[in-house]
Amino acid sequence: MALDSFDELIEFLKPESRIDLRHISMDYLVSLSGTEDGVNKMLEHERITQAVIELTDDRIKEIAKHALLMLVNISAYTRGATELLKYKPLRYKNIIDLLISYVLNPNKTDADAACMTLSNITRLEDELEVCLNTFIPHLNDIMNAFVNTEFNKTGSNLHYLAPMFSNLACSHRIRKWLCEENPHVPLIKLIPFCNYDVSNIRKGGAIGTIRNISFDTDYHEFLVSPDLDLLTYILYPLMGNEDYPDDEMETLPVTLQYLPKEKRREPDIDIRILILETLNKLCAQRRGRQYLRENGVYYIMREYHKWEKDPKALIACENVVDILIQKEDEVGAEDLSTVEVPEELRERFNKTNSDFMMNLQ
Amino acid sequence: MAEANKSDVKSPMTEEERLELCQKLDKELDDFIDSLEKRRYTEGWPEDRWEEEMDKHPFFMKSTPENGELSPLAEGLANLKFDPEENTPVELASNYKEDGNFNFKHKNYRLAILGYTEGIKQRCDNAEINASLYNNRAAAHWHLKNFRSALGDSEKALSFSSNHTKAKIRAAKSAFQIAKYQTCIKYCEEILENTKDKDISELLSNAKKKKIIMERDQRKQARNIQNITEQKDAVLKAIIERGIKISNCDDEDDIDLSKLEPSLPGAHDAIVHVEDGLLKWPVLFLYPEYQMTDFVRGCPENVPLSCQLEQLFPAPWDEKNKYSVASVNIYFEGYDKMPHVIDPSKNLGDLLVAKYFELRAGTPAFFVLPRGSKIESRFLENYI
Repeated sequence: MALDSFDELIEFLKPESRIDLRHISMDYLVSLSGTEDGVNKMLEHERITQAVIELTDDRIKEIAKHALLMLVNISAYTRGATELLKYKPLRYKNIIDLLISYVLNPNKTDADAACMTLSNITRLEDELEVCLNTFIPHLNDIMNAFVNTEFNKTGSNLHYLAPMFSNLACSHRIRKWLCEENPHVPLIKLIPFCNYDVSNIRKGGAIGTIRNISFDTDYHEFLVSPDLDLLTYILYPLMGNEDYPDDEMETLPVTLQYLPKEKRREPDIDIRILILETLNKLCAQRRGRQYLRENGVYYIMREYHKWEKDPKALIACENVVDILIQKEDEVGAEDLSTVEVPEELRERFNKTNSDFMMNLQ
Repeated sequence: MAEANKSDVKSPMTEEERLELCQKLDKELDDFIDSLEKRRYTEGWPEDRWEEEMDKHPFFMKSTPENGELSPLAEGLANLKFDPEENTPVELASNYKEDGNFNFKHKNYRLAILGYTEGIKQRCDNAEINASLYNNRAAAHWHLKNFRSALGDSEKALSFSSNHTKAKIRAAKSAFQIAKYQTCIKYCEEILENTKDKDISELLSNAKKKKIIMERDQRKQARNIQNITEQKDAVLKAIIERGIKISNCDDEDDIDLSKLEPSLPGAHDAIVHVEDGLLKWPVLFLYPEYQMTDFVRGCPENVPLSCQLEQLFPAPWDEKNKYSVASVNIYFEGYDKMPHVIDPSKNLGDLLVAKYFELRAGTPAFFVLPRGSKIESRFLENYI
């Protein structure tokens, strides 16, 4: 479309223009935003993007919905997401502030699209710290809206806040917020969703959040504290209905003992790998390794390994087992995350892993 | 004094006269008192037992007499306070509540419960009184360790007054006592929403722990039951598949495990079972000559019967060393009530489906007799 036709389009998008024309223009823009080229074209016309942002609050729900869906499409691309952060909506500091207001409004229709856009934008590692300034004052409210699965009265389920939290947890400030009392510990509210079978998005996001925290050894002590009972939640997806000898069964977290015959392992390979990575990270320090051993993680890994077919997951599982089967004097390091691996060895390990995967495939 | 007054009126008295008169009157009074009959006061309560007596008096009694009978006066008084015609339901309910409270204070929890129950029966329309009646009755039940009733009453109290903290706390504690942990958790969480209470936090965390343990135990039990059922089904399926005839069973649908239980004393746990797809039987060997038996558990169906016998011989009672696999004949008693000799080199499983074989009491039984012996002939003659 030529440049002047975009200008024409802006006329149609104005609130006072005819409704049917607005609908047609929106339909056109939504389909345009479906491709990366289309998004790039739109971004060249700041007034269009600005108009779309304002239309997310249009009193005609259908138009607001289309506008929100466009934001999801635009933010799906790194460039689009970065560009969106530059806009300043009327009455709001920035796009994040606007989207948060939608999330926190129980009567906002299609709030899920706002969640998706937030999830997309928070993927931008370079912009994350800037976003946080807008996020931080609202975090408690967002968490409360998230954990209340009936918060939104118009049918939005806010599942996509889970991957958003997972993205945010790449920042130290967020990890600190998640793990500290304020007045409740937010992570405690989030953890149950690791076993939320209604939505893989929510479940994966919750597990992803924990995985991202586990990369920070500062919080290992908190993650392996018996009161948090983290293992109960993250091991559950890796378990099926297998039987363990009584002495092994008794070491498992009580909630995981004697699971019913209907119990199946998590079918989503990405989720399984996220958990294995988390367990691996938790093995970094002696305290974590002991906690995992005390809770029979080895037995669960042994049974899981018999079942798993995916080569990447198998390697991830073996990495955990390799550490757990060693006695502490064999591990030989208090904190494995501080052990420096020479570049040459690192390459060799990577090659061994990829050879192994080739063989399996 | 009246006389003195009179004399005042008559004429003025001198100081001296007045004194004299006073003395005279005093003496007269003393004389009168002295002249009275010396009699002890007996109608009142004796000094040493007055408290006891007071308790017996309907006006002051604190509890009903032990024999449960009230004096007419006490009854009248009681009726006055608890008379439906004299009182509104609210007054009655609150009077009964007082009565209950009184008994509660004296740890007469059963009487207190009666009082509160009467109060509740008034169905007065005052939510506060009803909440308090139920709550107090819950407390009395609690002291009597009637935790189920304590929970029920606490919840009733809450239905009249949803923010009744005492009732909520008692509901939580009672629920814990009767292992209704989920209910306990619910009330604890509600309480903790408004207040920080260390005891309740502790109760909450205990309830959570107990709950997951209880759920684990339930899962474990369910799993055990399921394993047993699966084992049973596998056994029945195997028996039907192999076509083993069982006594007292008309057809396949009629087979159940009770018909497979060995009837030998103490042997019921040796019942046939499936292991790695093989049936493992309890087997009974009888030696009529010595009136001895051997009971072997878990004989796999794919092993020759002779192998079992090899384990048993030489038998300790076989002093003459007559019994060996090679020197005996082995019989079973068929459903035709006749003895049938078998080939011990055959697998147990094959013998069970031999012609005329019938399984009795879940235990294949074989008679073992020295071949060609007198006892063997006598054994066979018995059947003719």
